[in-house]
Amino acid sequence: MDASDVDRQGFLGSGFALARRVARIGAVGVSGGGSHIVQQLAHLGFDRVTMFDADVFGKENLHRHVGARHADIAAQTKKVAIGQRVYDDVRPNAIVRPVDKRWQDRADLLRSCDLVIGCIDTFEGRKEIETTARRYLIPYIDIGMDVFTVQGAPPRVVGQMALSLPGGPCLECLSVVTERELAQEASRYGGKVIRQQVVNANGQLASAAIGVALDVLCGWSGDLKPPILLQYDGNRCTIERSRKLNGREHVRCPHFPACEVGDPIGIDL
Amino acid sequence: MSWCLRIPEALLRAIRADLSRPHAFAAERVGFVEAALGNKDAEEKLILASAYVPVPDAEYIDDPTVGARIGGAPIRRAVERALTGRTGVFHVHAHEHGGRPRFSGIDLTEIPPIVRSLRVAGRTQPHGALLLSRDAAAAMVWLPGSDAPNISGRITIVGRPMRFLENASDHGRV
Repeated sequence: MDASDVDRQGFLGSGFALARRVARIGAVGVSGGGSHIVQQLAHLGFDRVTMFDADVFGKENLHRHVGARHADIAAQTKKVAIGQRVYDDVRPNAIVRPVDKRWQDRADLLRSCDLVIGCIDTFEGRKEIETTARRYLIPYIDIGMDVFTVQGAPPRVVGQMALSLPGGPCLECLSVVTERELAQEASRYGGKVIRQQVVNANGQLASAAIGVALDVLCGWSGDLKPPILLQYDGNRCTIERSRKLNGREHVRCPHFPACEVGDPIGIDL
Repeated sequence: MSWCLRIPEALLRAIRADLSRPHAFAAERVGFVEAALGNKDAEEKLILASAYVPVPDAEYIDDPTVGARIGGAPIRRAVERALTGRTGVFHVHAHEHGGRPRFSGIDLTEIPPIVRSLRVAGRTQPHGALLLSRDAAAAMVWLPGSDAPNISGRITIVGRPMRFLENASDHGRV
């Protein structure tokens, strides 16, 4: 690590210097918003990163995947390989684990992470990551965006960034993942969710997620207090505290009891 | 084989609050932390703290030769919890100073027999002892199947901000 690296980020404090060296960060989904996450983790200097993404890069990703090259289309490069390439170019000595499978196929690696950032399209997928994160006491940061069109009006670009901290409100408490959305998703009978995305919106949400991740890891800001749910308005280019939080600041999460931690244990009937 | 003990910040606050309360005659307090095993097939096992069980005032024994001595009842209850196989149990106490704490000679004599009972009762879960100072922590951890404490480990306080401690060396504070 170059000394100037440390100097220019010195305001983040000694907690950041330690976290950067020892914290294991997991990134689930490294295309779109996830590609910004990987890029920023690399520049910040995190030494231990595990990336999960089973997909291969295609031409449909080129408009929103930072670090990708045109040649990756023909080469059908794994998305995690692009992430590793980005990381290696910036931090060649970092310990990067690219997992080109569903995270569920290497759940042991996800469980070993100290903080996980998810950039995935489905509500069911978010719920699955959060359930594991809660069970293994891992802070989980989730970002998502979508574009809605209403006839006669400009498209609306919206998104959110949520922090699910063990002991605090979960994504269901914060209405990020609801039964209605899960049911709607399930009614598609496994059809792939294709959400509209654009690189600048992904970048803004990913930057907000990294800002919150830094604060969780080292508490540098002094005043960013959980619960944290930010709403993104891509039309106005704003990110602000979500109105969904009003009245929910002190919610005790009923969905993940504190006693439900660790590997599930079978019970003989 | 190594371990990572994860403790939610709110739970740690509750433990500290209880242990710092004065007692009528005991110089310090003790308690028990429940913690379950996670990632049991990985090289680094996770130990996930979920609850704190204090020792009631009446169950301390007046013994001025040690900081705190407790009767058999709280230990029996801890062993009963270990017996369920659903949770590991860690003896916890605090040394009121800053910096990384070290288990005293008395700790190293008195605590392992308690842990031995816990290990016999609950062979599939980790057991041990946690020692807090004002701003740091140390642990002795017996993973399932280990006859000796596993030295290599780290302690993570899960909250905002997170805190990272290497058990073998002091480069973090809680």
